[in-house]
Amino acid sequence: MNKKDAYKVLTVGVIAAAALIIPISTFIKSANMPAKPFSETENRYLTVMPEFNSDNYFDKSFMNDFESWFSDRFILREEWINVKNNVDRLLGRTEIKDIFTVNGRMMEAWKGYDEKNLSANLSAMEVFAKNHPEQSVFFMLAPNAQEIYKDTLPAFCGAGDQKSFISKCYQTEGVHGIDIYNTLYSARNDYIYYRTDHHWTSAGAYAAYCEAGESMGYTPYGINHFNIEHASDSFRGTLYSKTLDNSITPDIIDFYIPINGNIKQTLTVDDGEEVKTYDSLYFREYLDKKDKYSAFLGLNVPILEIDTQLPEDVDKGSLLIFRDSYANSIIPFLTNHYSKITVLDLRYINMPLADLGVNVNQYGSVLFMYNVITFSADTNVKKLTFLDSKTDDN
Amino acid sequence: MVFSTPVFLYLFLPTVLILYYISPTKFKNVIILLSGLAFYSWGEPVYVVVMVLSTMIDYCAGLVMNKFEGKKVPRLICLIVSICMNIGLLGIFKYGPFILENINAIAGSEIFNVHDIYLFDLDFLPIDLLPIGISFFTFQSMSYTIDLYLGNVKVQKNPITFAAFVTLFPQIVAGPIVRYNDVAAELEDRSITLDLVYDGIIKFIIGLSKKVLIANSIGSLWTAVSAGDFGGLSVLDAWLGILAYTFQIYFDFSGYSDMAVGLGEIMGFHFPKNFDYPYMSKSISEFWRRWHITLGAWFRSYIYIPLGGNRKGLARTVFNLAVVWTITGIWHGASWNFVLWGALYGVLIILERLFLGKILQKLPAVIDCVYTMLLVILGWVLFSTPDLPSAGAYIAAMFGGTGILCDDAALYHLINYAVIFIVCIIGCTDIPKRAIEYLRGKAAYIINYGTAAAMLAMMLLCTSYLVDNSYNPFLYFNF
Repeated sequence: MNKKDAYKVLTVGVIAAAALIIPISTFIKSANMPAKPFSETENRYLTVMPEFNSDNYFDKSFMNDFESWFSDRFILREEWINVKNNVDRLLGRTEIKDIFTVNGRMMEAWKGYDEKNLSANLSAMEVFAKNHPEQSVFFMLAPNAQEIYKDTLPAFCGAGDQKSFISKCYQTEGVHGIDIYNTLYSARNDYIYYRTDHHWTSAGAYAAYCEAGESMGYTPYGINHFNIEHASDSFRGTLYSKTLDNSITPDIIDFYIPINGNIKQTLTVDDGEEVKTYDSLYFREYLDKKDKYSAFLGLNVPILEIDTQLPEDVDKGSLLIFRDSYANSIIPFLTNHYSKITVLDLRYINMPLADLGVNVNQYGSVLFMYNVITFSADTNVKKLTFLDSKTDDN
Repeated sequence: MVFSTPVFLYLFLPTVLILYYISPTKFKNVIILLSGLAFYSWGEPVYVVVMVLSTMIDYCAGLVMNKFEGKKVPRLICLIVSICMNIGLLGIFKYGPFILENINAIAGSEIFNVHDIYLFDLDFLPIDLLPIGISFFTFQSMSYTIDLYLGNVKVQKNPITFAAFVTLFPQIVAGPIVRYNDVAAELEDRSITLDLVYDGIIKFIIGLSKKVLIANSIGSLWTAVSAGDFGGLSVLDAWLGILAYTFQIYFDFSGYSDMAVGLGEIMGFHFPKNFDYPYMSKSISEFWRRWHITLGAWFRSYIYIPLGGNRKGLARTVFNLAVVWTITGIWHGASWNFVLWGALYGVLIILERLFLGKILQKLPAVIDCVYTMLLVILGWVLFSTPDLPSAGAYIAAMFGGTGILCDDAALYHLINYAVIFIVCIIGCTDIPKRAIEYLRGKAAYIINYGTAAAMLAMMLLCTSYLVDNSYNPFLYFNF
């Protein structure tokens, strides 16, 4: 070989080596993985190797699944994705997978809402309120971090105006809107939203709980009433799962445990298949997993019921909550005032409420608790029109 | 299968190349044939039959033509059979619905139920109508029978060698259009040298980077702009959007061709060059000598020149150009947008030949470049929008039809894509190439070893983009 060609040999050799080491190490990695692996960081099950047959060959699902299988198990998968996101950032991209990263915080982009869908949801709530005149119907719509920290977002990013969205929603007749916007905004220097997750923190939920007391008619407990337990300091949430950006400090999860701790509390969970009872609102087993936010009331289920033994002078009776996952952080506070709270997740409910054993008229109050991003894209609140029967016999 | 996927890069390609290199020379074409069938059927598990059929008919047509050596009529019949069969496949799979819909439109009634005729996607075969790359492999395969008829090539009696030509996976789905004549000798006898493999690897990695790093990055801007209602676009956003598409299609398509040429060299073939800095052209005629060169060459050799080219007077030249450019347009896809797009280029090239070319020569080069790019960009509007009304609406938005000069979306796009736009502008000129050649003259050692490091870095960077798998479109489904 000509000595002048040494650099060519080197180039060919290096590229060939990379092209062999990568697939071989991927197969070694794959062989050592469980049969149905779950990615904690990405919060999803990885694709399973498809079984070849003529059906999935001809409809190409074999090829598609095989390609996902290969890239899901790719050697150093998360590191590759990190490299990509960092290069994107260097190239001046401020938005990666609809997520803005500024001042050490990730925020989901909110680009607005579908007018028709929103009005269907709102009118379903209006009808619901009209059908239940005996009940006070409250509506708490939490702004998201990207609204409270809007001034830090890149210029012209087209972030929608959540404040006007909230006031528009609060015009719904018969529904009492609880304005927590200003409260959260003035607490913006506190740790009220997670940095790596789309939820608010317990501190954010506490601020909203204090603000809501006046409207809902309870006297909120001061901060001294609670022991704040730092349950985890290594929470990496849903936004992290999308960008895998390790440069953001992991989040802290706090539980606010009332100091008069001995109140008896039972949590009944109906996941649609079986009913289980717990004596705590906190599912500490999730603190060791990726999905740490589920430590609040557990996984999303159709129906939860929380019964709390409260002194009669404090007890405001029963409360029915329609919610998204933001509610999970505020409900523990509300249990200090309502001896019976039923929590419904309309995403998982497709039969009349009465058939689920929920009689709206038996409740003192009803609360719709959502955050703006979820509510603006929600397609389930409007189901109330046919899930909630008008008949108030019983 | 497409090149820019982890499965191709790290599973298919290493496996095929190992088998290819270790097998003895006489089995190398078998490896090409089998790998090509595997490659194509990965993306088209059903229509691989169409490709096999087309290959078999052209192979047989060649044999029969050879039998009747010296007899014009039987040879012509063989050629006509081959052309009719290939054009027929295109007609059925690519242009059928378009033709039937237009007959319906002209008749003003539903003569043909296009849905019943075409969307026979039986429950067990939910397939797209258009086989990927059909316009490439039919043209490639036809080049053999036409050249054989014209006496430019010798008959290929070995079915495996001929099938290896059609199924040669590097160029199967997105070109360049390799004519049989281009590779006839290498199909029989080729040598794989260090120089060739080295050049091939560099071309492949540069092509991959053009596709994955540049085209996909800028393409997401076009996706964002074109997703909305064109009636609400600001002037700035409309221009940014179509500029993004202009760069996306160049870096995507030329990147794909670079990858194909590079793979060819890695396997011992010399494929023709397909792109030569088209966005530096100073006229539309020049643009088409630099853009998708193998397509232009195909039409020139097999349509324009047989029609008489420019040797039969001005009127006939104009007619010939009109025919070629209408066909060029519709080759890119079955819709009126492509017909109009081709016709636009036909008219411009005729005008340049008549008088515009002489004027352009007298003007400063900058003005020539601006003239060319402006028309090319307007052409891409036709190319990239789904139908004529939306193309019209988009062009209106570019020229202020919506009454909005600039909005937040446009400024946001400008800020977010500024760096990648600069990369695109520099990258579509020959400046990087000239810079490297200049530096090689100064410090060859550093450039040579630097290239090795750069290639590895680019390959790994592309890998990181492909593993994330967020936005990686295949643009040539229409072709």
